[in-house]
Amino acid sequence: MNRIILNYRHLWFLPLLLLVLASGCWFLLSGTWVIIYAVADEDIHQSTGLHKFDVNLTDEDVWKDHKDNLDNIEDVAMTFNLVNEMGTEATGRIYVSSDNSLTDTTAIKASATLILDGLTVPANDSLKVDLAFYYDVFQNFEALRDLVKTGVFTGYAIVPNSTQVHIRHFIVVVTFSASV
Amino acid sequence: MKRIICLSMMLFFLVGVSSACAGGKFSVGAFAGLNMPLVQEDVGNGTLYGVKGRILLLPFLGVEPNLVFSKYGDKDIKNDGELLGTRKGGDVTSFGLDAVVGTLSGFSSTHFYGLVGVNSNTSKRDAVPDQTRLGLALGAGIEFLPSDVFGIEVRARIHAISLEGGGGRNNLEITGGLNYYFGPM
Repeated sequence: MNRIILNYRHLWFLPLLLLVLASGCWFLLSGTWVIIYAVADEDIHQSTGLHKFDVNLTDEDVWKDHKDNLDNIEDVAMTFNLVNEMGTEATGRIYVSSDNSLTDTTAIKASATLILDGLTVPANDSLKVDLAFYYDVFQNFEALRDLVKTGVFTGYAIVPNSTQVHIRHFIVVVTFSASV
Repeated sequence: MKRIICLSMMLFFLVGVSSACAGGKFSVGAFAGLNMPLVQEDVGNGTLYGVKGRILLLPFLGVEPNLVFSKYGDKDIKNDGELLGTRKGGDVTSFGLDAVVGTLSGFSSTHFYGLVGVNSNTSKRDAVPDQTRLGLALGAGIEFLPSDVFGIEVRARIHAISLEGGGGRNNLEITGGLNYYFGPM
């Protein structure tokens, strides 16, 4: 009898457990989805010293289905090819911004967010940026995540000569969580 | 590996001391199995293993401190069939406490039970900052006792882990394990 009384004293944790469960169930009905967004080569616009392209996730069915219950942008990755037709080595940088009206490299460097730096392509060669390469050199995730939350952003690639250094096959991979 | 051994020893010590205080039956056990992500397109099925103790507070109620190491499977990211790269699944170290309710003692050679619990989860994945977050567990299991001291157990557990910034990850864990019992019947 004494033992049962002693054991009942150890039930203090049950109300605590129920309290935690009651307050913390919001994430029980959550899922994670991946959008693979391909930018068509003809939608990459060229001007002096840069290439520009828009990313609009709001047209994607998965985004439409879950945008109202979006919890978090968990990851954003990009893959592409950088093609150098020059006879000398070329370097490139990728910036992102909510402003799609930036027209020169000075304005981009001043107001956009640098996410990939030091992309180096040998003369008359190309650089394939795959996921592994991207994760090695990627920076400023928080700023990119805030941009992606809106569903729309603009990418800018600054290159030494935009008529001879091209960006091709640009793909954005967005992983997000949302309530179901 | 040292960390795993230290944490396991701490867990067993905790279970032993708690049981001695409660004056009841207790067990320690190890388990392993599958970790299956639910509605998560960015990771694949993985594995898990862990250790746990069970302290019986009442014939139908026990608590289980547990330490679990789980992995998510890698996921190939493809666009129209073209492989863009492979995303590493990452892993989670979880330390928690489950409350277990069911036919946990007596002379029956089979125990059925349900469980509910809370846990702390440290997630690690390439290119994503590590995070330690609250998790919840809900599940059920069955244990066969071929002798007075050994139990063979199979259980299914939904393990939900919250994420920094919102949302969460839910996993179905299917495990099998062995338990060794101490204390009076």
